[in-house]
This record gives sequence, C-alpha cells and structure tokens, in this order.
Amino acid sequence: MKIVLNREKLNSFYVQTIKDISLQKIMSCYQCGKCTAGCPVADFMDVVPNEMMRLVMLGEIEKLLSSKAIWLCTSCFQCGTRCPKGIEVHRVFEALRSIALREGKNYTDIEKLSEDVLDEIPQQGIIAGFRKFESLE
Amino acid sequence: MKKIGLFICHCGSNIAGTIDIPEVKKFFSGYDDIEISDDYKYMCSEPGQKKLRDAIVDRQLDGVVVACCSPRMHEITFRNAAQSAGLNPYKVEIANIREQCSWVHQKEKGKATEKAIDIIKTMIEKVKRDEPLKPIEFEITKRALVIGGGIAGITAAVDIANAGYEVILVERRHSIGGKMLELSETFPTLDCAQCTLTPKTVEAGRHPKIKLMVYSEVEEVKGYIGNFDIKIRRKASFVDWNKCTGCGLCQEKCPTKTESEFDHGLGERKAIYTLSPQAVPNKPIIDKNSCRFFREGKCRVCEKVCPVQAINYEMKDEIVEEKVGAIVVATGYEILETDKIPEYGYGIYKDVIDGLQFERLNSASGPTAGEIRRPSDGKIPKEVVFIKCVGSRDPEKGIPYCSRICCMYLGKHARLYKHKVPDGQAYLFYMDIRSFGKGYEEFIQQSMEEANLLYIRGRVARIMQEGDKLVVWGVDTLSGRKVEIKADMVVLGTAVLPSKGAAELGKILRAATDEYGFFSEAHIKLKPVESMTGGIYLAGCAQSPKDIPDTVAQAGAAAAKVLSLFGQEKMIQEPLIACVDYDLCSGCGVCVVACPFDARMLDQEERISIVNEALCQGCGACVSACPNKACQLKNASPKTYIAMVDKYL
Repeated sequence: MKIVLNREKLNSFYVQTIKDISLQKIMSCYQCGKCTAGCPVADFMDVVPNEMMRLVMLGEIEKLLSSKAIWLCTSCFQCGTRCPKGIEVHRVFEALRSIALREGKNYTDIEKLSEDVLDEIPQQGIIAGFRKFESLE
Repeated sequence: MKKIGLFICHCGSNIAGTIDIPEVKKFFSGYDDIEISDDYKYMCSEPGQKKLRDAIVDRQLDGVVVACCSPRMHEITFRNAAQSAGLNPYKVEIANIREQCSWVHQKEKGKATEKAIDIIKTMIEKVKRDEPLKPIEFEITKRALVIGGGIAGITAAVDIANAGYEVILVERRHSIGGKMLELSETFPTLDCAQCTLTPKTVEAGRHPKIKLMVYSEVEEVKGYIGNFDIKIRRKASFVDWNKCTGCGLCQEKCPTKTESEFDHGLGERKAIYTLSPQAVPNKPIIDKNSCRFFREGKCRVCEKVCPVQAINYEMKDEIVEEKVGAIVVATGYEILETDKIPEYGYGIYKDVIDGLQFERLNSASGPTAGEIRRPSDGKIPKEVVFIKCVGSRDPEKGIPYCSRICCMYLGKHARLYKHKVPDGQAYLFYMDIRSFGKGYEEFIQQSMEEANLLYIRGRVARIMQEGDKLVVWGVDTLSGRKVEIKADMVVLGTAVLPSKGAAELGKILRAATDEYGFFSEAHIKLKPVESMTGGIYLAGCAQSPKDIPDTVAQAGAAAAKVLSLFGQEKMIQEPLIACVDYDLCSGCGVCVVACPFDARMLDQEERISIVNEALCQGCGACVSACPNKACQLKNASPKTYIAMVDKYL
C-alpha cells in the first residue's frame, strides 16, 4: 500500500512522542542496516530494526504499534552500540512499546496465565509483562 | 657494416610469459649488423637503461632497437638514455612486442615468438636507414587566450596574468562571472556566491595583464602550440563602452521588458541591460530581438536619455585578430532541457522548476529578492520536493554519466529552503547520495539531522497537477513502498551538459570532444588538464561536470601548464616531420590542401611546396596526397618502409 507523505504526518503526535521518549535524532538515520545485521532476534521479527527506523521517519507508526517486533526486542542494545550515527535504536523500540502500552495495545493479564506457562516463561518475560501491566494503571 | 644493439625486455611476465626470450635473443646473436643481442627483466629500469648506455659506449653502437612495450610508453626513455651515452636519439627505435604481440597472442606462444622476431627484424631495417636528427626550435608567443569567463576562466586568467604574461579573456556574454554569479549560496559552507566570486571578477576586470573581451566569441584558430593565430568576433553591443559610464539610466528608462536569461525566465529585464548588478564590466548591450527600435523602427529612448551619447544603433560586429601561444578552454556547462523528461511536467506546470531557477529564487538579486515564492501564484511553498538524477544516470532518456554536483546542490537547496521556511517540509528523492568532496558528507548528514530533510531513496515516476498542488508519485525503496506527496513546488536536479556550441568550438580549435561535447583530456589520469591538441588546456566543466572547488583546482593546474610552456626559452619540436624532395616537387599544391595543420605553403618564386617546421606534426597526410612522392616524413621514407616489409616477407 502506498504511503502518503505530508508535513502533518511527518510531525504527528506519535512521531513527536517517539522523539520525546527516545531522545534520538530519528532523521539522522541513513539506513545502512547495521542495527538489523547485528540484531539477534531480527530473524523472528515482522519489522526489522532498520525498517522500524525507516517507518518512523516516514510517520508510519500504526503498523509498528501492532507489530510483534517491538515485543520480540530483548533490549540487548546491540543495535544502539553498533549504530554509526550514534542512534540508540533500542530506545526507539522502547518508545514504541511505551506508546503501545499507553494505548492499551498488546495487553497481557499475567494473572490469567496458566501455571504451566508461568513455569516456562523466562524471568525477563514476566518483568516485561508486569511492566505492561503497570503502565495501564 | 652497421653496429646495432638489440635489447629485449621481459616486462616482468608481460612479454616473457608469452614470448620465448632466450630463443629470440639467440636468433639475433650473430644476425646481420647486430653487434649485441641482450635481454633484461625491465629495460626501462635504471639498470636496464645502464645496460643500453654501457653497450653504446663499449661497443661503439651506431643504432639501437629496444624490443619492449609501445613507443608511446618508453621511446622517450630510451632515446634520452642513448643521447646521454653519445648516440643520436633518433637512431633508437622501439620494436613493440608487448601491445602488438605478447598481449594479443597469449594463447599462441610459439607463433608469438616468431612474430616478435619478425617485428624486431623490420625495426633493424629501419634503424639501419635512420638519419641522425636534431630537434627543431622555434619561438613561443608568450600570451594566452582563455575562452570562457566563468570561475574556471577567471581563475586561469588571473593565475597566468599574475605570473607576468598577457591574457586575453574571451566571454560570450557581456559580463564575466559565468554560472557562479547566478548562484545564491554555495555548498558546503553556505557562503554567498557573489561574495566569493566578485573579488575575482573585479581582479580580472582591472588586471593590467588581462585584456577582457566580453560579448565576444572565438571564430577562427590557426597555428599550433606556441603560435596560434586567433580571430575573435566582438559582437555589436550598440553601446560605445568607451563612452558609457555604466550609470544605468538607459536601463531604467527603456520601455521594453522581456524574460531575463540571467533569472532563467523567472524575472524580467529591459531590452538594454547589464547582466547583473555586480556586472564586470558594468556596461549594457541592446538586445536586438527585443529592442523596440530594432523591431519597429521607433523609440530611441536610450539614445535620448544617455548623458554621454554612447548609444550607437549602427554598430557592427568586429573581428579582432590576436596571436597567442596557449589556449585555456573554460566554456562551462548548461543543464539538460527539462522537457526531455516530460513525465515531470517541466514547462507545463509553472511550479516545477530546475536547480538554476531555484538559485535565482533564493538569491537576494533574484526576482523575489531572495524570498522562496513559487512562480505560479507567489505563495510560499510549504511542501517542496527535490528530485535528483533528472536526466543523469539515465541512458535511455538523458545521459548515462553522473552529473556530480546535483546531490550537493539539491541538499543545499533543501537546507536553504528550511532556513527561509522553517515550518516547511523538504523531500529529496535520490538514487545514491554522492557527497565525495571535502566537508560534503558532513554537510549532507548535518542537513538531515538539523533541517529534518526527508531523503527518500527512489526515483519519481510522474508529477500531476491537482488544484494548486503537484501530486508526486515516487517510491521509497528502503521501505519498499510507493510514495505520494502533494507538493507545492518541485525542484529538478537536471543533468549537466557541456555548454552550447562546445563541440563546434572543439572543431575550430581542432581539440577533440567526446560524444556529449565535453572536451577530451589527453589522459584521464596523467594528463587531465591537457587536451588532445598541444597548447590547448582544459579547465572546469568544459571537460566534465565539476563543482567549484574542483573547477578552481583544475583551472589553477591549466594555468600552471601554460606557465610551464611559457617558462621555456624556445619551443622544442620533434624533428620527425615532413620534408620535400625539391627535385620531385612540381608545386601542384595538393599537400597545402591536405595539411590539417596549415603547415604547408607554396613558394611562389621557386614553384615548390615548403614545410613550416613549427606547425608540421608529422601526420603524413601530405605524404599520401603527393602525386610525385616528393613529400616524405623524415626517417620514414617509402624506401625504408619497403625495405622493412621486404625483410618481413
């Protein structure tokens, strides 16, 4: 589907919020792709890190908020460490997660998870779950 | 009996890898007239040359054949070596067994060895018949002609003039400064183009050694390096510039307005006009095509108001003759006529403009006094699309090469636009961002970060008008998505072409131009400022698209080449030129017509043809034209060549 570009979209509330939360110079990304090349979970992502950066630059935020990728990100910081332009890409992921949570998207009610799942789920997953949970309060 | 030395070069494995050198060497040991047959890994190296020098001295050689690469590479090396050992350099010949043998016969080694022997045999026959010759000396006219008064021509002219030589600076328009004077600000420093350029134009304008000939064109060039005869057409300006004080009253009162070429059609000028407020020289011309007097026979307002009676409607073109020793070609560039890319609607949609038009929009001396207002309705555009590679890197519709400056100037445009319209958005469609110069990549990255320019990787396919918007259809190949932008204005980064008439000027100068009309350099790496014709040097976009720093550097280099020519006391010329056997010459004059260098003329008293040694380039056209075989090239007579062929057969 085509992207319609205009000033309003490129400076939308979402884009501004991402910039405010991440504190990153989004427009300085030149799409070299090194973030994706180093990402340990890029293989499993529906939107890979450099693609995520590009869509933020183009103001295409909706697709990102409903993506699986932002939840697959392990915040290992590889992307930010490697970025030649000094963009902390993981912070952009984090900003997207925060917005998704504020919007009540991808809500997980941990109490409703079965004992079996809770046994299997890694500690980080539980923390992430709580973090989501808390942000809804 | 002659004593000839043969030296076979291995050229590493370039020759030795294909040709059986011991076999060749053995073949010529004891061969007729061969005093010594030797070989070495690299004959051009210092030890190789020493071998040759020592043999000349020790064995009293009276001729040398070096079997090696093309004479274009090392003929001069070995001739100099022979001369230093006391042998006349023209008694040294090259048998080319690399380009004409080992390289082309790598798969037939046995036959290659046989062929190498044949090549060497023929060159031995030539050396046997070679006469010792002396280089020819002649005077150099130490004045230079610079064609084109843009930043390239001005730089070259000032550099040559500062060294104390006279320069004639010829410019087609009626003031100097060229394209740079039309620019608003320049990358990567964003300093004002006029502010950087005008000190140079002023210097050229009042330099005692520079003769400025504006509104003039070179019409005829004869002669050769060191001695050119030039005819320059000084076009009729209809204003006596000796009287004109440049007060500007005529321009003010002239009732006729027409499109300004300087503003690229975005502004207007009068029929009598100077090019710009900072024009050097600050003198007007009357444009015959728009002047009411010339069109309708009445008006003469300028004549009435001129306080010094400088207007002269009777003025005629004038031909000025000059003698110079060197020529610098600095004819600059044009941009592609954008109607070649019709899908962008240039010429149909008023708000689709080209890069030079944007420069004028942004310029304080331009039609909007530097405010960014779109041509159609004068509104300030809030969404502006910049498109790179319009015609460049487009072998189908435009030209296949990269125009080199568009990436940077469109980046600059977008940034300047954001300075003036901070709430506007700039979109730049690009294929690659080529920011190769000093400070360029930093400039582009800074623009992205600080001016929030949106760079979109992909070409634009079409532009359509929709109300007062231009709908731009493009693609962002980075996200793999088609992109649509409703823009207020579109700026096209159009391809750079050689300036109009460059190819024709090339013919007048007898300097080669390429398929696009850019002047060809003699060697792309080693002789980048020399043209293929001796004494003609290249500067700036006349040779290929260039930015200002590269243009200025090349202009300086061209000036240095002119100065190294002028630094010689006399011009030294190869003596391998035509000569005439007076017993055979009937004075028919066929050679005079055949000669492309005007080196032949008839001696009316003796009724024979003579050779101007300074002009003759030894091309041999007269030799093939002469019906009596009276014209011959020195050391290349038919007798010699028949002997060479005989030996081969």
